[in-house]
Amino acid sequence: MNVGEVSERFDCFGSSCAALVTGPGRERSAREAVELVRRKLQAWHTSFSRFLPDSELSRLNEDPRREVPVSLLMARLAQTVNVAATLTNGLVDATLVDRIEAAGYAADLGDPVPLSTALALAPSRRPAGAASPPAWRSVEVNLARRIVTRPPGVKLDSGGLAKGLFADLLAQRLSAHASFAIDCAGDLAIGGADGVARPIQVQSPFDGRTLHTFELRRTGVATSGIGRRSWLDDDGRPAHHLLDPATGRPAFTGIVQVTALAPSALIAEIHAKAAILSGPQVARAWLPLGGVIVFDDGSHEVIRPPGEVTLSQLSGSAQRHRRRTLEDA
Amino acid sequence: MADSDARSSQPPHDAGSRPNARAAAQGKRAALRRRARRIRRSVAAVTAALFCALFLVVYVQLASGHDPALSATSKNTSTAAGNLKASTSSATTAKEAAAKKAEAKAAEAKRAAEEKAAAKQAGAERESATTSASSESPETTSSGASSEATSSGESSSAASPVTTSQS
Repeated sequence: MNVGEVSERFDCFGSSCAALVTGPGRERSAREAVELVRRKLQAWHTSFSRFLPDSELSRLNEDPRREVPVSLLMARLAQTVNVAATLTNGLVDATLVDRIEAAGYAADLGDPVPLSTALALAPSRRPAGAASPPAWRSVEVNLARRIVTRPPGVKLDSGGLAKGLFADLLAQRLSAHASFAIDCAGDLAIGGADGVARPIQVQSPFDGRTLHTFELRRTGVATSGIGRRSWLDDDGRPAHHLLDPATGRPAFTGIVQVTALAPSALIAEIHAKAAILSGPQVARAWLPLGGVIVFDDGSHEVIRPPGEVTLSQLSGSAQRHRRRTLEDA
Repeated sequence: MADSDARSSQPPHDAGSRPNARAAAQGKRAALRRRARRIRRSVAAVTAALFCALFLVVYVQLASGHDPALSATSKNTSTAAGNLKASTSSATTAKEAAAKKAEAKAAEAKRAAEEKAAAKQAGAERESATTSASSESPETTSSGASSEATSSGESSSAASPVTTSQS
């Protein structure tokens, strides 16, 4: 902890969230800003959890109407679902609620299955693919009228997308403070008026040790993986929350965790998920602004942010690789 | 008189020589047009070739990982700045040097005052934060290591590390 920094860690989204703020902003002190973050995240948790039957998300998913009036934030989440799927050609698909519930993730999970056990029991590794036909294409959003249109039965999952979105929204509110970090259950928004570099430590999913430390100023960071929200299904098969949209089954691609850096926490979240799902051959193409990939065998690869690398590394191989992937898809 | 005789002695234009002259003029015009086209084409070709060559040079340099903006620039800039400073200082008069000295002194005094004020404000904030933390929930960990940071002489601009892991 540093001079003048106020921080708080609290339980939210079935995980742990935190806010670290230095210096007063235009409207509130650092302490008040931290409280704002906690208050907002806890309120959003009750609105966007699919495990709470009274949440706005649950009501939307159960609504028999084709056009459903929603809050502005819910409309933005629905729009985000579309954006994420469009950006990743359907790899990051937040309309697989029925599939994930069928796989066994219908309530808050207990202790995860040890990663090494899950990997030993897992099927052969293969990259994930897009669903056919993709349900996300049927979701339409009218932000001005705050209406979500989709065929009844198509359900949205807040998942990591909501956390990235929330971290970015709160980051906007805290932009006048000297320095801040919002940890929204793994999705981080880092920033502040002073542009102070903050060390971001990437943890290993195997033993919790620090794999790499980035020094970041204003950015989004997201870590996604298959280690924390995992379980054994009724047949004793290992399962986790990242589904392969093509099969509707948990994806085992050869990657167990990806940390992505991006201009916003939401984009970082989308890139991290897309990197895991696309497998070791293509994953680094999803990390043009840096990140860390952890593979099945426990090894990891650090992709340094631009500035630490030459421009050619950023614009050359990664971009070409990504273009080729998208063309193939 | 002789001139008028000479003019009058010229043979009048006959009908057969007119088409020849017209054809000659047309030929000349066509030749001019051809020449203009040739010049235009060669200018365009040279421009395109130059552009391609320049583009290729830049592309090859970037693709080979030798982006000057990312590697040598800072070194060159600092050297250039050093040269500039040296030449400027040799050229400045004693009066200018004195004025600069005074200006630097004033800036230093201002900076010191600002630092003092910032330290004061940080101290006050730390105190208030610690107070509120102690009166709030045990989850709240406010400025837990602030004394450490203060004793190590760190400024309030340093940010504490954050760990990112799967949620």
